[in-house]
Amino acid sequence: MHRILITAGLGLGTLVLLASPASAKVNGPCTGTGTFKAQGKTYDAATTDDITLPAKDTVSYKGAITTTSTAQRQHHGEIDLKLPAPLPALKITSWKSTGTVKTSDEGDFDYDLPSIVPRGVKLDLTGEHIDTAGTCTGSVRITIEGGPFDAPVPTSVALAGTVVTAAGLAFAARPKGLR
Amino acid sequence: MKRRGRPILGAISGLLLGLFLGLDLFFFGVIPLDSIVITALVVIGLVGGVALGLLAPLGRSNRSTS
Repeated sequence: MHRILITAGLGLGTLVLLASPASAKVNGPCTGTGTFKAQGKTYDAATTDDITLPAKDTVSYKGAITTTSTAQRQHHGEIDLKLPAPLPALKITSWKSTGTVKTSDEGDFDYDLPSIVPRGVKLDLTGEHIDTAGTCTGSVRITIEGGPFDAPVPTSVALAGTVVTAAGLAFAARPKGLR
Repeated sequence: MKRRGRPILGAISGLLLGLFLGLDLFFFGVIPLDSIVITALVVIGLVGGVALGLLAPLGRSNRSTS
């Protein structure tokens, strides 16, 4: 019986892994925009949700935090793309400073998503900036251009897993000792 | 006495089959990642796998196995 309880615990753990992500929202005293050069579109972090992005592009970004402080501040932040469980989130970029008075930044950022990122499905892109002047968090629901076979790794793993586990289930459903 | 199958293997296989079926549906754009369908498939796979392992209906002939 305890083996069945362990199996049930495994199932419960899987359900926790599949818990729903937070809905799109931006919090904190930050602003940010990005222009995707190849795509030719500009997005504002405060108003954007549910967008389609290319798997590879150069982004001209502008970011700022509102503060009246003129003292040296510490900050760090990162942008992550959440992937289906059990894959870990993919870190797109991160930044850090141990002493600055700057309240804004801009530049160009090149990205090229790996083939493990599924195409044509909705994913959550999350960002955070933790600053002495305040903390900003946000998330945007994005779809990477393409279809299931444009990123063959996750699709192949899922299809192969389906076949292997179906075979395992068929084997388990045969009486023991049956040839 | 009826022969049993493998309920533990059935539970693990059924659970993972439900998870992979959910991922297939997600990757092909049929359902979103936070869909309740994925959770339902995992639960159905787990319960169905245990049941199939206990009942062992595959490969039985009409002859008695007792």
